[in-house]
Amino acid sequence: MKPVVIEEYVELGLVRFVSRHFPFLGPESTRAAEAAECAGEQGGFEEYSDLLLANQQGDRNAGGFADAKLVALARFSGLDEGEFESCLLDGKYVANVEQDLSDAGVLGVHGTPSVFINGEFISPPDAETVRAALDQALAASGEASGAN
Amino acid sequence: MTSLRTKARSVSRWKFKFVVVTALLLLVAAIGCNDGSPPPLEGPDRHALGSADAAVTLVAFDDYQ
Repeated sequence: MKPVVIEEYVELGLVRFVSRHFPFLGPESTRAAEAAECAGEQGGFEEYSDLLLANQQGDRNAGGFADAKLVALARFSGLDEGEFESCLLDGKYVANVEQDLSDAGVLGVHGTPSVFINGEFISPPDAETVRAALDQALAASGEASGAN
Repeated sequence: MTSLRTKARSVSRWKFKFVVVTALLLLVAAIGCNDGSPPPLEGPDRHALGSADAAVTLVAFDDYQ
């Protein structure tokens, strides 16, 4: 869903895409979210997030996103390894990730991805549904979709 | 004697008023601190792509596992 939204709406200046964490699948979910925040500190949030998604493994919390692996991915994506590792080990973004998780709970988020468009919960979050909802929101705001 | 009793009653009344006013103030403060509104959808200082002036905002909650 995200690539479609980025290509057809965000790059045309029609939509703003905000990423938040909902690490509900265990400790490695949480650690990966913190790692993404650490990458963001060096301006690499999007690239590192894509790398995490590309490196998802079938077995959850089985070491796929252990600290050593997260640091290795940071190295691979060209981030400053020392800075990244220190950020991760210091737990610099623990509170941010906890805040996202807590907000998600209050907002009624139960699974991922969970999508809100101009505050309205969109379900299911597949590309077609999201595209239709974006077109509707754009029409309501008087903007035209580049996809149409 | 009558004077003392009246004074005691007056002090007691003031004590009661003080307790009621304090309780009301605490209640108002509590409501002010937590008005039951949901947290901001975008959250503080989040990662966003696209123009801040875009007509539509999409917020996605995701997990990497």
